[in-house]
Amino acid sequence: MKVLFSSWLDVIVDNRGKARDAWDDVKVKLPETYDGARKMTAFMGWGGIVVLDEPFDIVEMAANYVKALQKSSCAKCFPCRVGTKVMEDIFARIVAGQGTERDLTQLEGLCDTISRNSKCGIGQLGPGPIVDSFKHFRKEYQDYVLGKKKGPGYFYPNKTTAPCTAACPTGMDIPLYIEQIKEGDFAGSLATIRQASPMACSLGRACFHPCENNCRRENVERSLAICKLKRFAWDYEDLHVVEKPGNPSRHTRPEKAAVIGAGPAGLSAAYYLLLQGFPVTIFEKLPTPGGAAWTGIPHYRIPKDVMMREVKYIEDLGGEIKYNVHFGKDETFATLRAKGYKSFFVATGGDLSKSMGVEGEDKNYQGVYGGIAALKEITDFTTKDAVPNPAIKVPVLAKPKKVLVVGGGNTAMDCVRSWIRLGCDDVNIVYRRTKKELPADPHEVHESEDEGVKYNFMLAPTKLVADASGKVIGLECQKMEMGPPDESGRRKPVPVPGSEHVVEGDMIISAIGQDCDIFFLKEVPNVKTTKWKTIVTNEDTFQTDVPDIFAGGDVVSGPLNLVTAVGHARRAAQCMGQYMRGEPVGISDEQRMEKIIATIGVYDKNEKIPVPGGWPRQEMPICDRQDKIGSFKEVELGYSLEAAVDEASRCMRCYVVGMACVPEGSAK
Amino acid sequence: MSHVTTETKTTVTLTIDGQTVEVGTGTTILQAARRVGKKIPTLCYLEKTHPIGSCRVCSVEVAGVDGPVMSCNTPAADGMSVTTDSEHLKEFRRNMIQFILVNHPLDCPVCERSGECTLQNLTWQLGIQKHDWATAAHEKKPVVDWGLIRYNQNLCVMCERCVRICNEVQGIDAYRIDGNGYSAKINTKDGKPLDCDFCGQCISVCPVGALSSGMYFSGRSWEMVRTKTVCPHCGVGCSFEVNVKNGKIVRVTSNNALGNNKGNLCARGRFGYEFVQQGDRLTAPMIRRGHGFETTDWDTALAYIAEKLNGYRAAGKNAFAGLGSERATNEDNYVLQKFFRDALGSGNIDNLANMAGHEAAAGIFEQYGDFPMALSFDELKKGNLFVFIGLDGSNENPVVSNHIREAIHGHGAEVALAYSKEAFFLPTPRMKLTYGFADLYEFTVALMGDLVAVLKANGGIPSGAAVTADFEQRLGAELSGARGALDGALAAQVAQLAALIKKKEKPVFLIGQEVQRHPRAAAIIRNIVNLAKIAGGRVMVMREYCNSQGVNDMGVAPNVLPGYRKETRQELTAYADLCTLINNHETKALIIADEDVLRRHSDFVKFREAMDKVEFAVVVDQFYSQTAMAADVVLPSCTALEKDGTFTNIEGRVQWVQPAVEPIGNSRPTWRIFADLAKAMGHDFGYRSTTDVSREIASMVPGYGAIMDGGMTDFSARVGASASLSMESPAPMKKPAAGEMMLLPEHSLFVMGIYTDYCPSLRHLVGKHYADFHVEGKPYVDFNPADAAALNLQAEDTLLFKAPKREWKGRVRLSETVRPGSVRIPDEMDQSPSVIMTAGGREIQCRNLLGLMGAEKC
Repeated sequence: MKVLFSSWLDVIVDNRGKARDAWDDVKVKLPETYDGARKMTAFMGWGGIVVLDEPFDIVEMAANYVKALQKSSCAKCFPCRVGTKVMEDIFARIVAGQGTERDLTQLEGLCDTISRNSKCGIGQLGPGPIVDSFKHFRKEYQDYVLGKKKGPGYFYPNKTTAPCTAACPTGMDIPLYIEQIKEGDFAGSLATIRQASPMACSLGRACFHPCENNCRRENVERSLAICKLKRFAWDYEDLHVVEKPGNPSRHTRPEKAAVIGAGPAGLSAAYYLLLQGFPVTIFEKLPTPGGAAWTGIPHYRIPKDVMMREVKYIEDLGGEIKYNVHFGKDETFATLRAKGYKSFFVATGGDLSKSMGVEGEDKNYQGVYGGIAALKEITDFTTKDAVPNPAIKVPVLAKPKKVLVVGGGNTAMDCVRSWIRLGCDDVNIVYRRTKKELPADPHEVHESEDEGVKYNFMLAPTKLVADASGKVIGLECQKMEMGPPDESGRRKPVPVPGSEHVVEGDMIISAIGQDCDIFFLKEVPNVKTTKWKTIVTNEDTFQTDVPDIFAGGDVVSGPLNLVTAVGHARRAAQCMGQYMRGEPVGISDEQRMEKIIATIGVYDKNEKIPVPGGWPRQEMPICDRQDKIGSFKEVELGYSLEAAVDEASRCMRCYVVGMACVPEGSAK
Repeated sequence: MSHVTTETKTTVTLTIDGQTVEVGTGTTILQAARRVGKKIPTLCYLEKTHPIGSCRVCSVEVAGVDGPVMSCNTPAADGMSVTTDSEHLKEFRRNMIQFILVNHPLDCPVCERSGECTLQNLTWQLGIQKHDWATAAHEKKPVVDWGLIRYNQNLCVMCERCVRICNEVQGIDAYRIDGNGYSAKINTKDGKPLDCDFCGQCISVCPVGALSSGMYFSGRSWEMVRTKTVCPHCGVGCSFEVNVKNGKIVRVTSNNALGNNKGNLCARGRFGYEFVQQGDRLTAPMIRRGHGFETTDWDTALAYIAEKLNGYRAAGKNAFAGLGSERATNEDNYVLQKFFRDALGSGNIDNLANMAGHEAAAGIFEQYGDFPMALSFDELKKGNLFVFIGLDGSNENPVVSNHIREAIHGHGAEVALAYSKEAFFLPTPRMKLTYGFADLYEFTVALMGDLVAVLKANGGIPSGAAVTADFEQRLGAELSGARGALDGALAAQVAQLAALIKKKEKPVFLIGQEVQRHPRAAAIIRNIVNLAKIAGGRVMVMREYCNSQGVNDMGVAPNVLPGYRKETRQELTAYADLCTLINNHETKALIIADEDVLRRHSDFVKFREAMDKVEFAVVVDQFYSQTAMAADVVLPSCTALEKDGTFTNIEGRVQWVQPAVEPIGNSRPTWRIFADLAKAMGHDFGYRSTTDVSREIASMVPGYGAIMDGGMTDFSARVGASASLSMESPAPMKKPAAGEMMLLPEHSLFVMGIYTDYCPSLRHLVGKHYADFHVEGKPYVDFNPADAAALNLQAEDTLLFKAPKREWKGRVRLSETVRPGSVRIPDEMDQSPSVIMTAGGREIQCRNLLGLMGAEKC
């Protein structure tokens, strides 16, 4: 994009004094407005300074930035705690027109000392843009020192974040909860996690952890085990005699909220609504909670008895779950409105398996399953002892001779690894591309190979083959080969003509994706939907065009993942609260800053970090091999206390402050 | 990835200032540097906690890394090249100290930390003369409402040491950093006045004068004479240094290198020294004349006693009865029993530990032959599951919990609490089990049954303990009745605990006072020892006082000679129970050494009656205690801080006590009093010094041999346990009848009998403004809210606890932790009432079940 000046990530682009159409390009992404209306003219942060346009006042911005640093300083190291205060005082003098040249020299010295010696990102990276400002805006400082200029009093919204936090859809304060584990405050750690998500048990076991892909420790030797530390915090509470935090606001509001679907999004939304005082009822189609986390994630990854306790906590805080209520049939928006529900959170997920689009799929052959349905049966079967539920008819699982699973995502992984555990010794993946393209978590792929799953790459199904009795006996497939590069340069697999052949198999599971079932929206035609059958909401507030209906999770994003759904729910619950209290529905300055920061990006995989490496990541202990085959025992055993503390100690606490300059002032 | 089994390296090699060093993986650069003698300055670093990394003073240079690296929290890695000193580093370190000096008051002349202040030392060491950073100073008021702790924010450098030690070492986690940036301060977690265990560990680690004790402090570090000795309070036997200025004790300090406690102390140890030099100490012998006492000199007093005692000799061995002390040294107790057996020809001597826990002692002896079980703290720490049985761990022997916390943080050990009320331990225990006191035996049987079952179902008994058919049959016979006595929830918990013991494999069972005083102590202890044997675990018996172990080792018990040899001389064998003896026989003379029996005896009125019955009572004491008041002759003895000798702690470790100050007045060590008395009666023991006595003990008592070389007892000599399991059903015990409340003692960390009374600092922590509860009256008694509701009691209601001929008042306090059906009353109150009168005149029947030398036995 074109900006007036940028020192972002040490790439200097200085267009000052040039005609606007002669401006050089810069590889930085930032929105031009702060909130869609007011102009953002500058951004200051860990990577330097970006000036988008006039007007701006770099000295006043730097003064405010240092003030924000001092405010964010956790006080746990000397240079940041005292040093940024000394800087703040000097800046205050300068902005008031009482600064001297000596002040500038002293500031430069302080910046160097603080950034080299501080404990975490605030002190290490905070002085960076200040140094840039001295280097590139010396004249502005001199104007202040000479008394020629005074601060114009612009608005400087700011946000303290971290690469991991910025990458997390829930915006979880990851460095804090890690630090609390390091400091032995496990209850505090869990409380921090719960501020962003009540699902520490499930997320700590089965999150795809975008945070770990944005962890600066990866630049040193290996990213932190952020996800599994979350599990440790939850397990610690689960295993010890801890009084869980209560809900002092329980049912203090008169407005009732209805949540449709007791999956991760629904449960999370219920949790945050409950904490705001609203009575919440969750309507769930199945006799079990957890949605896709229950049916779609096998017992060996999230033991359902453990998950039950996670759900029970939400009930303990005042939430009610009504099971076996099929929304759209048993209840509708109209019936619930009539019962006094003031707002709705639709989180029905995506539980319809996509069809493969092959011949014979419509014939209802015996032995053909959708991925989700297959996993649900398996979960119902494998949890019958751990979580007995009279409402579930435990299925009889006839062991197939050979299982073919079509697809290469995590659902496919769960299907094959489940059948290995159920004792089938011929379990196969059919995937139309190569191993490199498998969308599943590489760790899962590796584990599955280790457990004996066979992979058939470059193979696409074309037809289901059944015997006379209607039992499936195989899948006709076509070989694939890499076609010519398309316009983006990527080569797509194309079928090899005449390569059709039948792969034998008496159970065929199609795990190539899911669709959402949103038939219940017929009642509310004003709620917009997409062509992929997902619901359209405001991207900030998750409010639909019908004001009392909010939506989140897979039914909005399309089948995605746990943590995104949970992130939606947290925001949606905040906005539902605003709606029900009669407040304007919208997001805060901090949340606006979150978006801006997400645009520019916090993590830089090329950053060189002055920390000696060689501190290995703690290995996750796993169960014995004999427990993996033929058993649904949890594979990962969780960190021990000392391993968790050691792992947490690797965290570099990469907090950073991002600040915008909004000349039009704050909206008040 | 986890599935790849790689051989993990256990060491790394690096160079420090050019010197090659090999250290274990996980060693920090700082630790590695210290190992090769490199001195890197530190300020916030504490050996006992995870590195804090707040002061940034310990920076080093690592080749290839641009910028300083903190040595305290960076693990050494293979091939690292470290430089510990350079001009750059000096400058950085100076800068860090200069940051602190911004607005740090230059109060050194009036600061109590002056001379031992880390900030002072570093400022000097780094050659800081001036600095030119500044920010506006805001004077903050020192915090004075934190009990024994005072906090001066102006002096605080925010190093976080207090926060860390309180969290990791004490487990209390009372502190936090409050606020952000420069205005941040140390505060309590809840912002309210500090309400903690007041161990004072935070003071001990404060590098500056920010945290100090609220006690009057009149010395400077360089003025003190420090004497290393052993704490005179509980059975843990912590070492500490008594700081004396001009003959006056001004404080107690400790350090990591000192003793088995590794520098850890509790409130009693750190603040409980004031009694030594109180004005109320006895300073001269006193003889009763009419209604009062007359002070006299030693020769007169001893001659008077000798004459009296000689006069009773004709009446035979039962003319005499004596009581030794859990607080006196081994030497004191040894000479006392020798005086009885050799000079008086009587074996009628006992001690309160043996009397209170007589059943327990029997259980211990039975299991361990000649010696009580012993377990060193180093061994204890290797355990990975600590099962507290009948132990209120935070109030009895608190420093043992410090060792346990080390195991928790070091290798993820867990804690399970079993107690007659909801017990308290930090960090959070894995399990809390609350049994009914009357069902303690049944509880242990059920646990044993579940443990055997879970082990057998999972591959057998790993310890190899002989779970014979006979044993199983006995166990089976007890089991159904035992399980029936527990409610369903507790039974389920017991099964969980058994599974946990099986899983953890290295359990340590800790036996508290409640077990030792239980009427079925012997059977219960037998069961706990069985549990340990079956699980392959260990046992530790907690001891109330500093020499509860030693007094028994010294043979201050009827029929047991030093070293637990049986008394075989028919003419000396004694009655097993002192009260029975006095009541049934014409006992003429009672000699009580250093034991405030009229206060500590749960049925003190009964003991008082016994005391009044004898013609002549001699009391050796340090204070004009209730017991001393009832005597005919009172002899002043010195406290442990004024004499030498040895104490034997709960590990079985014999430790030297050293005099820190001169004996007050004319007080003398107890052993010398009895040696002199023996001499006056014609038996010269020939001791010229305490070491003469110690030497004799060493030759008489197996395991004590090493003490003469300044060493410790030989543990191996004390661990001889038989591998076989034994089980016998105990005699039936009275259980509370319907509607009857059970009285159970509540231990207080701050109360250790008369010593606390004469330590104003400790006394104030329990809200006692005078030296005697009986004067002030109305201590809190704890009820379960459900019971209180049923009995129509409100908080703060006054209750009258009535026993025949005596009564005391208490105030109601409600606590969910109390088990329904029981009332918790302070340990030092009379435990024998049978009726509680409410203010409204209602009578509540109550019962004390503790197997003390209480009413039913006396």
